[in-house]
Amino acid sequence: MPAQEIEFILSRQLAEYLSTPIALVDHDGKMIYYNESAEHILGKRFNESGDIESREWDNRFFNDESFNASLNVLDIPFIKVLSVRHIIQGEFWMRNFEEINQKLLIVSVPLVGMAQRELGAIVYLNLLQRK
Amino acid sequence: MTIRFWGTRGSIPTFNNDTQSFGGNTSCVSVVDKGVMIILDAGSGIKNLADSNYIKLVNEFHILITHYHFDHIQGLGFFGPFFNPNIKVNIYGPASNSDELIKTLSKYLSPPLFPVRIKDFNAENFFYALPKRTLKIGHLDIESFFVCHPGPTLGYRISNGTSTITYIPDHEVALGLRSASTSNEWTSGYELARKTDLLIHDAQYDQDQYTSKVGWGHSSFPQAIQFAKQCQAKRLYFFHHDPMHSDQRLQELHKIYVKDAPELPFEAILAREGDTIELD
Repeated sequence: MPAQEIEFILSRQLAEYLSTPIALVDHDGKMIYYNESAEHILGKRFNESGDIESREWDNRFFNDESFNASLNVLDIPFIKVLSVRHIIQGEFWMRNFEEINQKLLIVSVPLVGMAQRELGAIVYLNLLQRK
Repeated sequence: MTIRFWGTRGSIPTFNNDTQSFGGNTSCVSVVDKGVMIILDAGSGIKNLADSNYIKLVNEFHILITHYHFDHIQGLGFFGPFFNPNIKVNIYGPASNSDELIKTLSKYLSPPLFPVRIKDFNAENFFYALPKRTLKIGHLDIESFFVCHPGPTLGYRISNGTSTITYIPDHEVALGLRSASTSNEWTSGYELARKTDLLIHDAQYDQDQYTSKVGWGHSSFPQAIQFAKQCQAKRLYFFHHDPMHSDQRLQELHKIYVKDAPELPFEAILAREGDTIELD
C-alpha cells in the first residue's frame, strides 16, 4: 500500500491528540482515518474498520429526521466537498454503524497540499442530538 | 553509481580542529552514473565539488534541492558552472504556494544578501518545481515526496534500475507519533526509503537532545536506525551532523547506538565529507 501524503500524516498526528472528532477523506472519497472521538459518532473503531469506502455510507445520511430519503453518496458533505472544492457546513441526520440515529453538524474542509495538490478533506463532526 | 559526500554537517558550516574528520561543510552529495551527475542539495559543500575534477565529468548538472533552509542553498552562488555559458544547470526544488522556484531562490541570490543576481548567472539555467511522481534524468528515475520538516521539504529516491539511493537529510520522522508509528503507510518518508540500497538520513541529535528539540525538524540516531529498520534499508548513513557534535562525539554516538547495540540488520555508518561509495 503506498504511503500517505505528508499532509495527511501530519493531520492524523494532530487529530490523534485532539478531543475534537475529526476524520480524513482522500481524493477518492475514501475515509482513511478518524480519531477516537469520531469513533463514538460513527459507531465503529478505526482499528476495526480500517479505510471506509464511500459506498459504505449508502443509506446512512439523511436531510431530516424522517429518515425517508437518504442522501445520494455524492451529496454526503465530506464527499461533496471534493467536487465543490470549498468549505461545506451543514446539519444532517445520520444512522451510524451501530444503527443509532443522530443529528450531526458536519464541517468539511478541502485539504489542498503544497503546490495546489488536491488531496482530500478534513472533516469535523459535531454531535447535536441522539435518538 | 558513485556517491560522494561533499558536505555532511547540519545547520551551519562548522570548521575547527574537532570537525576535521567528518567535515564542516553543509549538505551536498553527488551521484554520478553513466555520464549523468545529480547534486543533492547546495550547502557549502558544493563549492568543493565545483573546485574538483568532478566538474569536468559532465557539461549538464542537475541540482536537486530538498528545501530552502540556508544550509541547503548557501553554496549555490559559489557553484562555478553557473558562470560558464557553455554549461546547462537544472535546478529542482519543492514547490511553494506563493512563489515560483526562481523567485524563492532569488530572495537569497540577489542584493542585499548576495552581490550577483541569479538572472545574471551565465549558464543556461532551468528551474523545476517538485514533487512529481515520476521524473527521469537521463537514465535515472527520480522520486520525490514531501517529508516531515518545517516548511515544504522533499526527500529523493534515485534509481538506475539496479541500485537505489534515498536522500532525506532533514526529517523529523518521529514528530508526535503515537499509534501511526507502526504503519508503513502512515510513516513520513517510507515511500522513499522502502528497501533502498543506501539511505542517507538525518541523525542530528542524540536521544537527550531530541527531547528538548521536538518540532525542530530533525531525528536522533535511534530514530534514524528505527526508520531504516522499518524501511528495510540495506545501508544507513547518519547525516546532517549537529554543529555541536565533534568528531569524538560522533564516534561516541556511533559506538553507543551501533557498535555496542544489538546487531543491526544493515550497515550503519557516519557520513564523512570526502567519502566515496560505489554501488553496482
